[in-house]
Amino acid sequence: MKPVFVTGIGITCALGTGTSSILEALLSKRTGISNLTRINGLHGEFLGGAAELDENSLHNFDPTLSRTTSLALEAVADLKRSVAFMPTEGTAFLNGSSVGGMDTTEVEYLKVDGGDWQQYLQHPIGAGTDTICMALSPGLERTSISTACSSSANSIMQAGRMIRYGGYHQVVAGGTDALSLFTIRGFDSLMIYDAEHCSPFDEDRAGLNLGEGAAYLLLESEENLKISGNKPLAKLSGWANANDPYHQTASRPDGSGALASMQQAIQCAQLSAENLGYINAHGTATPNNDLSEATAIKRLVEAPPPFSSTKAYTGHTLGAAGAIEAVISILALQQCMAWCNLNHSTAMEDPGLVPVKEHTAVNDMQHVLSNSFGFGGSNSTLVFSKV
Amino acid sequence: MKDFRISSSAGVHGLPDQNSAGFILQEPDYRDRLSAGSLRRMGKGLRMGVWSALECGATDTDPLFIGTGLGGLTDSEKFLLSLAPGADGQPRSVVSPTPFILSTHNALGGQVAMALDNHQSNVTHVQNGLSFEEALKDALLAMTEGKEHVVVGAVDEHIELLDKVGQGTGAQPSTLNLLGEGATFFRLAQGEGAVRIVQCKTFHRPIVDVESYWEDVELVLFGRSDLFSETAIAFPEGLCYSDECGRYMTNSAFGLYRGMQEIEEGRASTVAVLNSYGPNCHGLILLEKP
Repeated sequence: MKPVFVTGIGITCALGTGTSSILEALLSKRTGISNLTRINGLHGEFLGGAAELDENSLHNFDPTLSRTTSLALEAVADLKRSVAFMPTEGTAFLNGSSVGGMDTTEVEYLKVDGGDWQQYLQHPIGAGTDTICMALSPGLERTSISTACSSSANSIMQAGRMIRYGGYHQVVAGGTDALSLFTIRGFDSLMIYDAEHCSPFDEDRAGLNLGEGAAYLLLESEENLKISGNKPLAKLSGWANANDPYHQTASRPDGSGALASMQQAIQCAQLSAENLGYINAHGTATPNNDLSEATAIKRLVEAPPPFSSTKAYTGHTLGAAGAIEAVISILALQQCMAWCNLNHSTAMEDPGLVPVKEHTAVNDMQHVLSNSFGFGGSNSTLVFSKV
Repeated sequence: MKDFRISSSAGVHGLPDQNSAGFILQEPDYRDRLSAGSLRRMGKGLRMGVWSALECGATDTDPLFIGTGLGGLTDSEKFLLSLAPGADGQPRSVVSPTPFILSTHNALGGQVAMALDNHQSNVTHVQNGLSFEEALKDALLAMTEGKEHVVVGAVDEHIELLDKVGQGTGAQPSTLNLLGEGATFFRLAQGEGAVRIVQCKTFHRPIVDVESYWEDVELVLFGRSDLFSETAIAFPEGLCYSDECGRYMTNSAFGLYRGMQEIEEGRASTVAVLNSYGPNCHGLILLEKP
């Protein structure tokens, strides 16, 4: 089985930009979620995880750019600071996004005069991907994956498949999404936007807080490491995408969809569930997701490993969540630490599993699993392992 | 041995209209595959897409790969409209979540999976005019990994707002007339079917001929998937499939269907389907009679 190495990370989210900022925020249990007002068309405050863009670090920062694209450019700049990226034949860029240019479209659409038509040309997710590609390498082979909240988990999974089975040597994969009126009102209309700080896996959880951000991993084949000289940070050892055809927005409460995704990813990595040192759950804090996912974790293995959701730090970053949590999972692996699940007070009656309520050191943590589930029954799981 | 073939296909397409010089979608009776309730909820793209996926014979064991340039535009616009202030100038207090739920690009993948009780992998590619080729490349990779059957398809819908964006960004009325829409799905099988897919490639640079990629090509089917530009790419000896179905970001799926027809009906034994999205983006699908 051909190994797939993670050699570089670029990230920006409500916790900061760069892995050292993210690690510092996690270690000090600092949430990036706060009261925000800046969304055009939204009256009053809401709780969300906003990223702070450092406009000076972006050489060509353009205020007319879709924020989804600006966030991605910040993460790509961070990636390029952290690792040598030399595109060759057999290099690709995979971008996951759900919001795409909607943050720009909604502003123009809601103007009485119809707005600036040029701005609509940023609407397609692929248009954003093309702009991001310019910052990486203009002629790169590329695609965008949009499977709602599992978008960037699926882009990282595709990178793994392309390197293991498709003859590719290096792939930059991840995703980006910005806060937008469209998604805030969308989750509000589903009555799953918590007006308070979200509390994943808590009996009294009331829904999610949205966040924004972008993260990209550089993944390389073993042969490519010899050329690039990059040092592996972790291995992407397993992955799965298993649809849960139950309801357009809800997961099967018995957890069978999430269970299938986790089992297939563990099998792909040629491991068993007992090998896992930590599970970074999807854990959106919606009543349905957390019931279904905790039930699945309980069914996965008799003595589940420490698990938690880090959504209460970052907010739910939708299409970027899979990539941001891949980074958080790799940090867990490097620190041998299961991250504290913030805001947890009461155990869920059903299925009775409790996430880690303090940072928990795990001896000899070798493998971590990260879940990303989305609308449309889109369930995906990634497994990262120590090199 | 890799032997990836098209085992069945289905689609919903437009035809050129003599009076308007535009394209008119030829919709089947969806009720033979979709319930009245689903039809009421679904936007145009979802109807076309789910019907085509089911009609092409997708099963519960097939991984699904879908390409769409712009996703569910009808539902996206419907939800956007509900975000505009009400008559009193205040945000509306009650907003229906249905168009929000159906606006995600993978809503089609989710709906097809639900119709089939399909628990397989389910991916939606959204790469402008190359969305279908990227879905097809992913589907072929899955077959390289060992899948015996996969389903790959594409959908894009036309809404009036597209014409306004075109007008607002300087497109000529004659170009806007060419906008089309449609859905095309294929079930691919290892070694089973009358047309073999030799390769699917994408390019992010200009390409000037097809022969340098495949010297055996007998027929070039070419088309344009960009919506608003007029730069023509000329392959005088070929057939232009976008003249038959109109321009939309995933019309190369229709191009593949036409290429398959040319081989099945014995007019060519090797066909290249060349898709151009502006001068610097191209998709190339090579087909042959097995």
